[in-house]
Amino acid sequence: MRRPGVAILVWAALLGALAVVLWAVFEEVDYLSVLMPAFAVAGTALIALAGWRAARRAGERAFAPQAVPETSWPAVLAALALALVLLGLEVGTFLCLIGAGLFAFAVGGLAREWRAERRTR
Amino acid sequence: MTAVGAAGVRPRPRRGWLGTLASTDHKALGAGLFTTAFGFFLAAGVLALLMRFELARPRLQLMTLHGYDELFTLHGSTMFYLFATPVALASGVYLVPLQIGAARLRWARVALAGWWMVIAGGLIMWMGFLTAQGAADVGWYSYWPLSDMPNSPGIGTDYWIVGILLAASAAILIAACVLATIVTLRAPGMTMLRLPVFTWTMVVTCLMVLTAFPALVVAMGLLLAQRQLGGVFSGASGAFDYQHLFWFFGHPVVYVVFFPFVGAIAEAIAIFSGRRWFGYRPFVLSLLLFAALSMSVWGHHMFTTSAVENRYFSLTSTALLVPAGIEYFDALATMWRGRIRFATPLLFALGFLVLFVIGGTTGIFVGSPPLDYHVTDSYFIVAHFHYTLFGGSVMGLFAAVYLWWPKVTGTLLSERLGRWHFWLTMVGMNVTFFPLFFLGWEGMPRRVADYPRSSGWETLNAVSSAGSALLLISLLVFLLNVARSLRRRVPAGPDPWGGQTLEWATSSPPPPENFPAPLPPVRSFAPLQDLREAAS
Ligand code: HEM
Ligand SMILES: [Cu+2]
Repeated sequence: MRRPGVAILVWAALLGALAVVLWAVFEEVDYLSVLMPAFAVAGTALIALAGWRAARRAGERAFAPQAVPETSWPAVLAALALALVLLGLEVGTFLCLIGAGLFAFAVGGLAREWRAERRTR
Repeated sequence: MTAVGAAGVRPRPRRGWLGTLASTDHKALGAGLFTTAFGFFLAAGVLALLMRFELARPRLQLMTLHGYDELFTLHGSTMFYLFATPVALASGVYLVPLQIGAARLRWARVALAGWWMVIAGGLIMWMGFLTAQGAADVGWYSYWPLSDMPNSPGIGTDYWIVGILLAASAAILIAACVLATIVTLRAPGMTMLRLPVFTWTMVVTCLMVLTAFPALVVAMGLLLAQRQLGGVFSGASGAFDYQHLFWFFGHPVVYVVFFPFVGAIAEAIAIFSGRRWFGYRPFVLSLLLFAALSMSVWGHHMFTTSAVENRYFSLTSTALLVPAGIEYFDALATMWRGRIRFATPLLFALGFLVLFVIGGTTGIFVGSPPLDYHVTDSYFIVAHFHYTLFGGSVMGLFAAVYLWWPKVTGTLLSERLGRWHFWLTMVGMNVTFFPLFFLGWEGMPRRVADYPRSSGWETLNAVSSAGSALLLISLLVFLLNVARSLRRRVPAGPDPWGGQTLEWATSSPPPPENFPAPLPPVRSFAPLQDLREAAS
């Protein structure tokens, strides 16, 4: 099992099999008992697919020098700004707006980091 | 912004403590998230002590009935959302790159944002205590309509929802980073079937977080919308919809906070038996099955609603015995004829196995609908889930802490204090929670701050409360051990235990790039054990 996608697919298959038993063997199944396992199976299959592709490309890149900055304050700011936006939903719209502004600022910072990385690659 | 450097050739960072708060190094990040989560464990533990203090005698001594509601809600929620889940993922953030021979965590900035979302979410949730109507009072699963505005009008409940939204989203982000690291950054030779046991448990943990936690985000988003705007849930079908969404997350989370510590105790058992983990491939398969089953049992929390297929969910719940049995068998087979050293990590691992048997067998008990009808919402349930959560997550966590502390800090903990810590925890845990089985069987309901003097429940409650005081003492012993280790700094060396996986092949603590020297060849899931066996 060289390909990590396989392991994840095995899990999707197990989940799927269990869901099919629920749907097929028992009659009255409400819509969420259909939707949620279906999403889980489909989501896992997508992860497997992404993993499959990523692993194929990873070989050469995994050990290439990386240029991620040692500290990333924009990432911290993005998290805190998001918290402010959510808090604003209870406390007042002004907080949502401040949070959104800070979030935009953080995204700008992240974009700058990405560009710097691209240059050093 | 700091200078950009290349990983393999990064200079040793001189970022100071402020820099560690925004570090993209998975070790600083993992340790930070771990410390945050442990802080929330202590905070939730204080709430538990307050509850046990109140329950030690009949009548109300310390608090109002409503105050008690706030305490059990914040205790349970903090334990799950802010302690157990983050601490499980933090272990992965720190250890997985080291175990697979990677230099870094994939998408470290995303995980960094996740750490801060946990901090912010926790503070917002606890801010409820400062509001006029107090913190959330709806229980950790906050059933609608009990959690709707008319029944829980305080803004503390809204803060609680926002806190969970942040913590749950953070968990999804961090799990994605850990899984992506495993998929893309494994060292040459490290195929999926050579991943160390702990890393395998992180694979299934991350898969469960990625597929189950979105249901929690949806449930909390809808609940917030319902409280602020209305019109989302209505009638009995609304109530069942909420329960379905919640438990689709709510059962798997128990395994999310448990699997990584199965991995940790497996490593501890292997190392301290001087043998590699027995039955690796069946174990991996049983993990996948275990996780898939645990995604398919959520309805057992709704047995008494008659809204679910009790037969299916009772069947899947009972089937959990099979993979659990395989894991126990592997643990015993690993120790069989091993050269066993009873060091503290192994003691906690064995404690985990013993306590989890009690939690598990009583779980099979409540996994059967007729019995569940008798004990549902009684102290029997409280006893059962503390045996799985404390016996599972907390004992496993301490096994992990004692095992990897030398790697993370470069210093040794005292074995003598460790042994004291273990035995005090083991005794305190059983004295606290075992009496609760009897209380539940005799009909004491959960979530009450008071009980009648005539009920005959006084003695057992007093015993349980005394046990929680013992647990407090055991924790103080642990903190003393930690403080002593950090002050004396007895050097641990790269591999104090005779480790089997790659993290023991680098210095303690590992340098920023993790492995400055070439890695040993990876030909199995225990590459250092291979070297040892080849040499002897
Ligand atoms: C440190 C020792 C602990 C003690 C003394 C303790 C004590 C308690 C008490 C007294 C209750 C309230 C029971 C009731 O009135 O219904 C409770 C509830 C709960 N505990 Fe603990 N607990 C401890 C550790 C933990 C841990 C480690 C976890 C999870 C990782 C946990 C999760 C919960 C949950 C989920 C509830 C239910 C809250 C609710 O009803 O909404 N506890 N605990
Ligand atoms: Cu369950």
